[in-house]
Amino acid sequence: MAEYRTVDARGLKCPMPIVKAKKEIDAIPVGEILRVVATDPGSVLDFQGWMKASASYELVSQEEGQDEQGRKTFVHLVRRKA
Amino acid sequence: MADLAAADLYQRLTSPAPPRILDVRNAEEFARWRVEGPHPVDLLNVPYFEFVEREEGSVRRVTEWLGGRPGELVVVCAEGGSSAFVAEILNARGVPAANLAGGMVGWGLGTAAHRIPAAGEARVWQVLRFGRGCLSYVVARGEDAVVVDPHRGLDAYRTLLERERLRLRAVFDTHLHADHVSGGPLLARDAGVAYHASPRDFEGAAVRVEALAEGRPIRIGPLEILPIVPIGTPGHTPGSTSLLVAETVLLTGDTLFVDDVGRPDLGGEAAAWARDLHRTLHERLASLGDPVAVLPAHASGLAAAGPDGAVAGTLGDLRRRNRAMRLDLDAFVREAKQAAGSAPPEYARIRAINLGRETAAESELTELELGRNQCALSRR
Repeated sequence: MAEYRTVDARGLKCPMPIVKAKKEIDAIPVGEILRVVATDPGSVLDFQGWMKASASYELVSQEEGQDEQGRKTFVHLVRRKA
Repeated sequence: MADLAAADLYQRLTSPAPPRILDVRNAEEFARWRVEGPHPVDLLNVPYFEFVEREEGSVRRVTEWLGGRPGELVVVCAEGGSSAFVAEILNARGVPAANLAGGMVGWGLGTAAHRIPAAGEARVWQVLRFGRGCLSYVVARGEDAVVVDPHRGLDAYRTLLERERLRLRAVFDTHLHADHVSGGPLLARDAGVAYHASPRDFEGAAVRVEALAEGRPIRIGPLEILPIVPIGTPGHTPGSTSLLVAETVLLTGDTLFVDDVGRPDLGGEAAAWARDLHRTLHERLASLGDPVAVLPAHASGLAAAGPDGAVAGTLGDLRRRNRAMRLDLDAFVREAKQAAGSAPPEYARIRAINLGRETAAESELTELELGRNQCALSRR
């Protein structure tokens, strides 16, 4: 797996996963990908909505996983386009 | 920033000048379920991530929508976090806004209790779970009370019982609920009283159920004065049982609503259950007089509430005005067949939980109960 800059948003409820991701994504170079790991199931639709609402980013993928504590995770990859 | 509890928001929505609602959830969640009141609610959906992305433009959308009209603005999200975030942004930019504490999750559990004016020897309170349109009841005589069709937000009943200095004597479910998780078994167990329900609906249940026997009055309290007579009213479920209180009030469960009837198609036998329900409405309830007050377990819409806030009608009114109740047998069965097959998928899981065969964590219970109930035949 490629090494992406990662935001750990586990255990955080909305709006925090997107608030944290927004800060980080504006700090990475254009064209690169940010990885956001969340545990809030609501983050799936919210990330889709956020990406649609912005011309500067795009959603690369969303996957479900599990962290070392056995928590269900939602991993969002977002690319900075501009 | 002011935090508003769900019950306070509902109270304000009943006023002639209700607050406006800014819902900051994503468009999909907003489309599925939203804040409602007895009057039309003026709602705007601007997801919170729009405020993250372009704060100034989003605030401008809100102020343009408000258009300088007076009145309160309440911000709503799923659990109360994003709405607090947006309300703070608005307040910082000079737009006064309150936050719905607990969001739609809290809204879905919120209740408002209304005293039913005339109930013979009994005192009856209707507990409206406004976010879902579910109705439940506290029936009392003297210091003794029973609770009928309680949902899982047990504080609503405990608070009312305590405020009115009532002692809980028994808990009833009119049928096996499929649209919401019953609070009956837990409420009864904690108070050390019996949980009554129909053995037909609770066959093989893992919860302890005291069988409701048709026609045999159940008396509450040590003096055993107030009789509650179970009347078998099959159709919505085979075991659906209405409760006649003091000969003046009929708690109909999901058998008969004020402007509709319960769905007979949820058990996969739409035609047979529809025939049962038609017979219930026209034969089993035939001996009850027009003045009997019908108190159902669901409101089709909050606009159905009368000026006193209660959702109720007399049997006579319903016989004249309830469209589904007026259908002849053929039309009734046809309509039930047309509705068949569109039951929400989570209903099977909810039934299993209500039978005590399965358990679920709080987060799943919230998810299972999202949105309004879908128990009425013609309103979906």
